[in-house]
Amino acid sequence: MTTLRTFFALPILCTSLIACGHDSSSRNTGGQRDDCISGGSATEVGVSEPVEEGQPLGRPQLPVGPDDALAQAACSLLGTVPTEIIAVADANSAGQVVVTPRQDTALSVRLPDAGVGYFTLEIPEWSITIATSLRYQESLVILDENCDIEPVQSVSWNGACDDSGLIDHRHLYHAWGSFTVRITGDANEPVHLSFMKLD
Amino acid sequence: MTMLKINSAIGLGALLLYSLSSGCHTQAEQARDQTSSPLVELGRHLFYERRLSFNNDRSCGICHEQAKGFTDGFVRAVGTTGAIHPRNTLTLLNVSERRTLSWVDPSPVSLAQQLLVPLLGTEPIEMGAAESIDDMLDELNGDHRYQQLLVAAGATALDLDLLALSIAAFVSSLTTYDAPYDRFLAGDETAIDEVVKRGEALFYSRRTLCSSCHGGADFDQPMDGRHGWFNTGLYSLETGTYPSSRQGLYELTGQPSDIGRFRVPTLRHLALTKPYYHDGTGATLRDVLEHYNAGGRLITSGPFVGDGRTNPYKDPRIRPLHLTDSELDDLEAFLLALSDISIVDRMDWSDPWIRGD
Repeated sequence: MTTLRTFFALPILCTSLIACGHDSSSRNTGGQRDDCISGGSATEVGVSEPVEEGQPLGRPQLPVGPDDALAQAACSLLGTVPTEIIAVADANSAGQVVVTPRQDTALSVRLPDAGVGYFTLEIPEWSITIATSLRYQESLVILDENCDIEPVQSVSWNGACDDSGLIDHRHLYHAWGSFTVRITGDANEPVHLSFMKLD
Repeated sequence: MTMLKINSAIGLGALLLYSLSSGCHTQAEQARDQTSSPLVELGRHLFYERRLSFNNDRSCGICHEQAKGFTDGFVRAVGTTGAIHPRNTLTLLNVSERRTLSWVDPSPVSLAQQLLVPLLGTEPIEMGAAESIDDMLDELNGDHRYQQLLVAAGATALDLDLLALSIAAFVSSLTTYDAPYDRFLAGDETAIDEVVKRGEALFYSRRTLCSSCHGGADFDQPMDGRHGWFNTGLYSLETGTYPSSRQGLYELTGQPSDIGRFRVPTLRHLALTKPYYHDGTGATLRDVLEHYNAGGRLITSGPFVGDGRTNPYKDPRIRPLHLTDSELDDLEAFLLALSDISIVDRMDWSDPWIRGD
């Protein structure tokens, strides 16, 4: 755990990429977070973001234990044949690669040379929680234009599969929509990640 | 007075638009009149009726959301079973003015016919009502709200024909020609600023030829009477092909020259209807403009690497425009002035089940 604490943080960042909360096309279903409305900016929801030793830590990193069904399922997914996708190099091209998470979706993502890639995650349901898993050396950030995503627990080490280096994160997607996903990792090795819907 | 000013300022293209728009204003007024008709009101309720989907989680209005210009905001549509569809959802605004209703199929079809496709279609499944439509209609016929609406509409029971007819009547009422540019053409000098006017001049110029394909009152009709399906150089995979599930008119004809040919979409309401293109891969309006400015889209990463600028099936009018950033700003401002964003607040187009009216 100590090691994990030094490596991970959970960034819930607001950037100035896209005007959020002022978008004339913003949803009429309500539910925007206060930071979205007041910040006038897009929100990036991080799943795991490596941080340098000595930097301030994010939220506590608690393990998801071996009895957690989703954590176990994430371990099992590591052993399945993943769907292979090729990420694009810029966020605005992410629509060329579309993924919709089903009950359990394992992906192998090939990144562009720079080690940063993008794809689109289409969530076709409302008020759904999705668990996302990937290895701690890699990071995944969801660009949440309409501020429709809310973390439902802190980023956690998957303790159900020892030595996997797997990080578990769970988000509540308040509204359906297309979300741009940014992955950072080693361009020479595919990034393995999984999405699982909570019933 | 207004006509003379337009003629001298922006030429024949805008004059034609004005003439067409004037005619359509009449239709828009007619559409507004219709919104109060019992048939349209019945159609509005059915348009937003989730019980018409297999999983009770889809309605016409879910996938054609008012706040998004009656699109869904997705890159590509997702059906009730979670399957990703091959194409982006088209806006329903002003759809009654369209001669054809699909990205790829040029066959004329009525709105009443078309709306049965998402309702009952199985390839792909959208609302998934094919197996249970009779039960669904029975349930709605037993609903007191619908019984009142049916009486008002002079009908005794809801059947598939009446369902299609009434939803089509409501969708036909989703007609508006009240964007800033419309108001400018109608004589309101303050409706657009100088940036938009510069963009307008570019749009109607021989330099860009935008209006040669995006003509007419809805900016979706070629001005020269040609067909309205073009390859704009979005992709160029092997031998100029497009991604396998998105080949355009070729999917129907099998003719190689039809590869990548999709209908010319309307340029109205773009402020509400992103993302763009037949497959939603245009994230922003600026991206789209830069693609056209380059004479096609160069893709350097991802699964569809290729140079759309060299696509052998590309329409010859898609060529480098050499517009400056400032000129692209002007053009973008003009295109946004074709959007009537007030439609998001129109109560007579809104979901009656949420409002409880």
